Parts: sequence; structure tokens; C-alpha cells
Amino acid sequence: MSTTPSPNGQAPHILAINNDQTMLALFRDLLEEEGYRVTTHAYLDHDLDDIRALQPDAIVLDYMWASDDNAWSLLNLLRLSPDTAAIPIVLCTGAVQEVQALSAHLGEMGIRVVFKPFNIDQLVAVLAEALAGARMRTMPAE
Amino acid sequence: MDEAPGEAAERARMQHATRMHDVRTPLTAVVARVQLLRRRLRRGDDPARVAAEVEALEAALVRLVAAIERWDDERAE
Repeated sequence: MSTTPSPNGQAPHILAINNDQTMLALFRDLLEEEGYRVTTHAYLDHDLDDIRALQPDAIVLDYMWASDDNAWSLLNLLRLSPDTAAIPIVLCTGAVQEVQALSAHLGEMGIRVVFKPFNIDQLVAVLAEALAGARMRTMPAE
Repeated sequence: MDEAPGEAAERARMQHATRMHDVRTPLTAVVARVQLLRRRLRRGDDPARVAAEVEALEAALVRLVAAIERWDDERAE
């Protein structure tokens, strides 16, 4: 499957953040096969400055919810920081009820959600939609 | 000191969410690896790539089994 290139002509760059190395390896295999460039980060390694420097086209973030202060803090930091606020985020979570209850709020934050266990085609479709939405917002007005 | 009823309920809710995360994450890896394997077989990929996917699937299954066993151990305590 081919992906739509970034405005710089390169394959879109996806940052996958997860606390599980198995999931990071999965995201790398899946998304590289889809034609994306992929960088993976373990939560403990994450740093907002790193993400600012990377300027990924989208972030796929694992979210455990109940006790996951790391992910919630990171989400808010990403949205509050002017140079990361526009980066589309796809949240992968197993906390179905909790996240569904917050779906309107997350939607306002421009965050799309994929529930575990997800179908890989579903994840790829949501990611493509997030990237297309970001491109629409950055296209110059005619 | 005894835990207040609200605190106990919140702690139980968080423990449940943590357990669900611990099981759903490796389960997600298993489901996704099976789907990737099916893609590679359908495409007639290089046998080495198919074998690598089978190995990744096996590793994901081992992690899923370990997560279920941890959950079972916690319940038995």
C-alpha cells in the first residue's frame, strides 16, 4: 500500500510511543510495511524536546488510562506546546469505557482513538485519516 | 488505618484497568501479528519474511500467556 508523501516529499514520519517493546516492534513492522518512516519511543525515554526535534507527521500513543499519568501528561504537553499542538495523535487504548466517556473531549483535542485489540486495517485507516486531516489544515488558502 | 469505601473502589477500578491493559496489549499484538502473517502469505512473500512473522507471533503468544498467568497468580493471592 502506498502512502501520501509529506509536504517535504518524503514518506510520512510516524512516532510510536508505548511502554511495551513487543508493541513497538509491531508498530514498526506494520507501519514500515505501509510505507511510513517510523521512530519508536519507550515511555521512559520520551521527552517533549525529543518530539519537538523529531516533528513527526503523526504520533501513535499507547494509553493505559487509569494510572497512566505519563500518557495524560504527555497528551496535554503536546497539545499545549505551540510546535507540537498540530501533530495528529492516534490513541491506542484498552480502556474502552473510560475513553468512550471522554470521546467528545478527545475529539476536541484532535485525538483519534483505536481500541485494543484492534484490526491492523482499522489502525492504518485511522492513521491515514489523521494525516489527511492535518494536511487539510496546513494547506494554504487559495 | 482502614481504607475509605470510595478509596477501595477506586483502587479496585485502577487494578482492574491495569490488568485489562496487561492482557489487552499482548492480545493486540497476537491479533495484529496473525493479520500481518496472513497478508504476507497472501502476497507470497519471501519465506524468510514469513518465518520472521511466525517467530514474532510466537513471541506475542508467549507474552499473552505470561500476562494471563500473572493475572491468575494475583487472583490466587
